Formats: sequence, structure tokens, C-alpha cells
Amino acid sequence: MGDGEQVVSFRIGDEILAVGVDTVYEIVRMREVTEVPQVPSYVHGVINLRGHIIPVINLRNRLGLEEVEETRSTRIIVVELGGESIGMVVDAVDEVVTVPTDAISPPSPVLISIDTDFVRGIARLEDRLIILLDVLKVTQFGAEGDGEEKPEALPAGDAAAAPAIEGGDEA
Amino acid sequence: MTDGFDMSEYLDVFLQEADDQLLTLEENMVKLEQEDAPQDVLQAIFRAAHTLKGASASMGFTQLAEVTHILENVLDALRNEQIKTSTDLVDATFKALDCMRALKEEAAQGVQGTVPDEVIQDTLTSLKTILAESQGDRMEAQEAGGGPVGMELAAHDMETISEAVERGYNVFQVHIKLKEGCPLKGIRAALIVNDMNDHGEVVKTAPPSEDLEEERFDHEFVALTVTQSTETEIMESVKKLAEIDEVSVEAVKADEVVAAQDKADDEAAEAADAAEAAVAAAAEEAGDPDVKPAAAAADAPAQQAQGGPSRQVATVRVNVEQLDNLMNYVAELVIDRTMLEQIRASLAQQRGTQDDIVARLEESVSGIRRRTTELQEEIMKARLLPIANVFNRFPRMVRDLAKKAGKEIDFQVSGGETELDRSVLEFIADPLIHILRNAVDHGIEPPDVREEAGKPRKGAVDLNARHEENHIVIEVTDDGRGIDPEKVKAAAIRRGQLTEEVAARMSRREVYDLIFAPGTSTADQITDVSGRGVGMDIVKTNIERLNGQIDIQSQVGVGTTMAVRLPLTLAIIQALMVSSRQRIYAIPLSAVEETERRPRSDVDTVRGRETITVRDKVIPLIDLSGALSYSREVPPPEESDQLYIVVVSVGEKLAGLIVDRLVGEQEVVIKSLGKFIGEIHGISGATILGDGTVALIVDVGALLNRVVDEIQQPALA
Repeated sequence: MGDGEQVVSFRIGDEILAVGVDTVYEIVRMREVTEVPQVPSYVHGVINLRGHIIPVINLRNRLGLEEVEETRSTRIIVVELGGESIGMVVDAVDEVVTVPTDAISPPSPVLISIDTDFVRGIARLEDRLIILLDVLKVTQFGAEGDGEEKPEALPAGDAAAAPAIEGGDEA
Repeated sequence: MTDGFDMSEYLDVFLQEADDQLLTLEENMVKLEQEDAPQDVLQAIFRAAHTLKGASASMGFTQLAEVTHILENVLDALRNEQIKTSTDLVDATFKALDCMRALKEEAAQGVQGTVPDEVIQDTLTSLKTILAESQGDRMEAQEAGGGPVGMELAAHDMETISEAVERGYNVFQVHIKLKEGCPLKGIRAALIVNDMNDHGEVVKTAPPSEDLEEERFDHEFVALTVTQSTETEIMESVKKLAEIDEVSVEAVKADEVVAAQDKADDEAAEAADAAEAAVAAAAEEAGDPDVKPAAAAADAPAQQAQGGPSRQVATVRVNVEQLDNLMNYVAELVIDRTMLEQIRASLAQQRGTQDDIVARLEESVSGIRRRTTELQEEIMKARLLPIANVFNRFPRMVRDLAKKAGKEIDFQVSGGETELDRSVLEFIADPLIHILRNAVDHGIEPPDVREEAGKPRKGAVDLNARHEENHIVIEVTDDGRGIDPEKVKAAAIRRGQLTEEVAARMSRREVYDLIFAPGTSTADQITDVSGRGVGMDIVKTNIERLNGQIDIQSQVGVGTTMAVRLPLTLAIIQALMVSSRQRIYAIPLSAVEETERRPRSDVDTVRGRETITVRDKVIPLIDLSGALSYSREVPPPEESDQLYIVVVSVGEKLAGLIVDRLVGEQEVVIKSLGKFIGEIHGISGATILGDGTVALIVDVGALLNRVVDEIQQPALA
């Protein structure tokens, strides 16, 4: 076996994507997600993972694709980054494959339909293309000006500071 | 028996213990100032200093060991009545304590050299000056102990040696000569013994180890060590240490050793050895980073050796993380239990409740229900700690503050045994420090002023804690000048926070609330303690963040009481569960005043804001879901004629939260939303419900603060 990396491949629409096996903490069935206010729309919300509350990203939304209804094959891939677990909702999980290093090329917008900002590379296997996702970028919150900061910059809860009077949006 | 001795593994334990010892020192040093400090106080401080010295020397923190060592000498002289307590002495010991704390911090951070050398030297000089008084006596004592070096072996030493030889270990007699005039030879000796212990085990030293520690030897000593290392290895290793003049290593044959039988000596040595062995064993156990005997364990053997009663210590120290994990597991268990209950319910539907399996399932489900509840309660209890952990440092602080401010204060602490969750404990120290500073600085008058007012020169400040239902109440009472509402108002008017007309209408309570507004201070003059107009607003914010309240009672000329009321735990709260736009929320019950069902026609609009009148008060209404602003809007349920309103309060502020439905009251375990989500305005955390889904916990304070409460308090707007 030559040089290569093991990845978990999954589907979003017709595309096959993958993340490194070492970042994947676990894969769970879709479950009820509790929405959280004041977060970008790609943050689906939070779930309970064995007593821990972890955020879940809607990967379709994050990658600029149309959202779809969840199905029986919808899964949440839980990745671990810097000690924090983050879930990503995907249409279906395929398998663990080994991608030879020499099969990986830089991302090209011609080949794929998703935002190449989030792509680390493209692996050409015999029968298919696998998009290697840049998990770090995908899970970066409102960074590098993707135009989706927290929707409404609310005043910080500075308790005793003179109460802001601009409110009234709850009426 | 390896060459590399991994200190980091022991560092945590060392630091925890050092904290304990420093606390004991601090607690008792304050008492030193009171004349005729009882012998047990002296013993307690001496023991703490002694233990800390040993521990820091063995960890290689030589500066810390050095300072502690001299302090120990001072305490020893004090204990033996060679010197008397004086303000100078107490000041010097406190200086040493500060220095030791800074050095300990250095150890914790893994850095060196942050504590300036001058500080250490200055500390040592102060201590030595005190010590100089008793120097004469000490010299005599040293001479008496510094006899010729020789090695006498008791029967049990022989056994150890022959057993070691049988098992193929080497036994060496290591003769060490320190450089003449070497400073801190006690610590040097301890370091050398430690070094040898890295290679094996030092069975015995001559003079005995306590004499070495107390520097009752000239500059030579002999250590008998059992090891797998070779002569050269031991030699090389020891030679690397500083201040050594000569080392010789000599192999010992078991049959060559002659046991000297000196009965009287033996008994004393035996007791001391037993104590040492027990301490060593305790220390070894303590080496396990997770579980270690409580500090009391180290004291117990020493007491035994002194003929004191033997004491069984049935406590262990547990990592907070482990307790948190246990809490999580229990929460998981609760969820599993709920699932089991659901299964039982559907099975009962299929088969009827009379069915044998259904009945048996019911039985075990209810068993699990009881157990999980008990388990949860026990773990909650395990997280409780006496508030003395925080209170202990205050006597010293108040003493220093009073001294600085030129005031005389009698500070009394009670209720230190009151327990609360460690999560709360962590956060209350700061607010209490502010409150105490205020009492000392603003509350208590200078002695002369007090005398003129016909009060005792010494002001009284009392700190008290007690339980009230599910809360802990901490009160700071002073018999000082009290808060003058007129002064507070005048100050607020000066700053333009308030108009005179509004001020005239304000209730006393509302005036006190002004104290918590940023920028308020009634102190006529600014001191470096407090009085810069910062502090009380922070106090209030911090306490409210803990779901607590603060209340002031004061009478001009008589004194002030500040009462802080806090929940016992931050981990679990009672919550009112509500539903709004199909989302479930938990509202902390501590913030809920009442719930109301009102017809929509009761809603008034005042200056563009919806309000409602509850008990003759006009309060603003907040639509819960709307106020939180979600990226995905859910339409409200079909316009109903009735509104559910949860009246919530924070301090004096009231508001009505509009919800769709009340779900019920429940105990919820608070969890963080994590770093990725970060701070969400109006949400303080999340909790896991019985069905395994997540509900958000409403931060009532944040929501309320955002609301324009011009209706209620135009003064502050």
C-alpha cells in the first residue's frame, strides 16, 4: 500500500465528499436538533450526544446548496476539533476509503458544484471524484468574511450599563 | 527505580497540598497577633510550614523551601517560647506567606524568576531579624545534636537489608560531606536523600532524618540505601548536586552489619520511623494524581507518633472533572430511564397492565427511578464544599485593609461550615472581597470619629453564612456610618444620573439600587482601597450571573448589612418549562414571580412598547421567541385571545415574558452551549430533557436589562 490517507466518504446530493478518518469522532443518526438564536443560518442548532451538548452544522447550507428534507439515511458526522465536538448533517454516509496521495489535486470550480473555499483537494479514484472537505474552514464561525456574521449584533448583556433604548423588536 | 523521575505527575498533588498548607498558615497567623496564641495554633502553623518545606524541597523548589525553612525556624522559636509575638513578627510572617504564595504560583505556572530576588532576600532578612532574638538558644541546641556520625541499625533495618540482598538489590552506605558553611544544609540533605530515593530507597540515615532536617548535624551524614543502581551510578548522581564536598559509597553485606541495641533510643526512633513511613506511604498514595487522602491524613500519623489517638480518615480527594463526569453519567442514566418508561408504557398498551412481563418491567423501572434519584442527590452532595474555603482568606485581608486605612476592626466570621457547590464557591470570592472592602473602607469610621460618635474605637465587621431553603445567604454586617440616602442621591444628581424631582420621589430601596449603578461612590475621599466608584456594579452583575440576589439594609450612624443570596449549586436549578413557537425553554424559577393568563385586551401600548398591569404595576412585555431572534422564524400559533405571561424579575426590575404554553416545573442540569456557539444574548445555557432533546435556558437578567424600563425607572434611563 502506497502513501495515502483514510477518509470517511459521504454524500450531499450527487457529490461525494470526505473528511479525514482521524477527525471523525463518531457518526450518529439524525435526531432532534434544538435551534439556537443569533447564530448564522448554517448552524442548525445543538444536539445531545450522550450528555454532552454539541453544535450541529447544516452542511448543505454551509456549502451553499439547497436544503432538503431529512431522510432515513441522513446522518450527523461528529468531528473533533481542538477538543470541541461539532456535528455536520450529511445526506448519507458511504464508507471509509483510502485515498492515494498522488490521486489528490487542488480544488477546481469546474469540477464541483460547491464553494471551493471549503475544499482541501479533490481525489480522483477510478470510478469517482471525492471532494476532500476542509473541516477547519467549514466549522469556522463567521470567519474570513463569508458575509454571514451573527444575524443581529445585539448589545452585550452588560447588566448595569444604561439600558439601550433601541429595542422594541420583540413587540 | 528509574533514573528519570517525572515531577509533573506529582506537581498537581504538590500544588494542592501547598494550597492547603498556605491556607492553614494564613488562617492561624492572624490568630498569632492576638496575644497568647494557644499552643495548638502554634503547632498547627509549625506543622504546616514543616510539611510545606519538605514537600517543596523534594519537588526541587529550592527558593520556596528556603523561605519556608526560615519561617519554620521562626515558628519553632515561637513555639518553644524563645521569642514572643509582636506586630513585627506577624508582619514578617505575612511577608513570608506572600512570598511563598508567589513562589508557589511560579511553580504552578512552571516558570521561574518572576519573583524578584530582592523580594525573597527582603523576606528572608525580615524573618532572620526576628530569629536573631533567639539565636543564642538555637546555637546551643545545634551543638547538642551535632554528634559524631555513625550508623546504628535496629533489628527491623537488618531484616530490610537482608531481604533486599536476597532479592538481588545492592545495599550501600553513602557517606556525604557537605561543603563547610553550606547554607540550608537541612534542605541540601533532604535533596540528596531524595536523589538517592530516585535510585532506590534510603532505609536509614545517621543522624536520623529529622535531625538532618532540623540541621542538627555538622556537615556530614551517612545514608543507607537499597538500590538496583551501581556504586558509580549513585556516586555520579549525588555528585551532581550542589554544595557537596565529598561522597563515598561503600557496599554493605548483610551479615557484616551489626545491630546495635539501644533500647531507649530505639523506641524513640521507632515511633519516628513509623510516622515517617506512614507519611511516606501517604505521600506515595498521593502520587496518584486523581485520588489522594485528604490533608488530614498526613497529620494523623504524626499524632499517632506523639501518642495521640489514632484516627481513621475516610475521605478521598476527587478530581472535579470526575465529579462532573459522574453528573453527566447520571444525567444519561435519567434519559435512559425515561426511555425505559416509554417502552414500558407502550408494552402495557399492547399487553395490558396485568401482563406478567409488564408488571416485572414496572417493578424494575421504578427501582431504577429511585436509584437514579438517590445517585443524583449523592453526587450533588459530593460536590459541596464548606464556604470556609473562601472565608479563610478574609481575616488576613481585613486586617491588612484596616491597617492600611488606619482603622481598628474586630472581624468575626461565622458559618464557615455552611456548604455549597464548588461551582458557586469559585465565583463568590470576588464579590465578597468587594463587599468587605466597602465595609472596611466606607463603612467603618476612623477610630477618632467613632469615639466622638460615642462608639467603641474598634469597629465590628461580621461575616456570616447560613442556609435558607435551597439557598445560601451570606451577610456582611458593619457597625459603621451607614449609607446616607441623601448623599447617594446627591452624588447621582451631580453625575447627571438623576434629576432632583425624580430623586425626591425615590424609595429607599431605589436609592440603594443606585449604589449598584456604575460610577457610584459615596466616599468623600478616594482611597486606594475602594471608593473609585467601581466595584458594587460588578458585585451585582456577578451575583446575578449566579442567579443570586443582593440586598442592602442600612441605617445612618448604626451600620450596614449586605446580604447575598445564592443558589446552592450552579449545576442544577429549578426551572419553569415553557413553550414558545414550538420551542421548549427553561426559565430559572428563582427569577419567576408568577404566571398569568390574560386576555389580549389587557395589553396596553406605552411609548411603542406593549405593557400589562400586574398588581397595580405597569410592566413591559417581552415576546420570548421574538426577543431571542432566530434565523428561522416560526409563525406564532393562531392568534389566541388568551396570553400566557410569565412575570419575571431581576432585582427590582419586572417584566412579563409572553409564551405559548406552560409545560411545568422541573429540575434541570445546566450545561454550557460550548465554545463554538459562544455567548448568546438572553440564553445562559442549555439542558437535556427527559426525552433526550435539548432545551435552552433563558437568561432573564440579560433579557430584562435590554428592555427599556422607562415605565418603571425613568431615573436610570
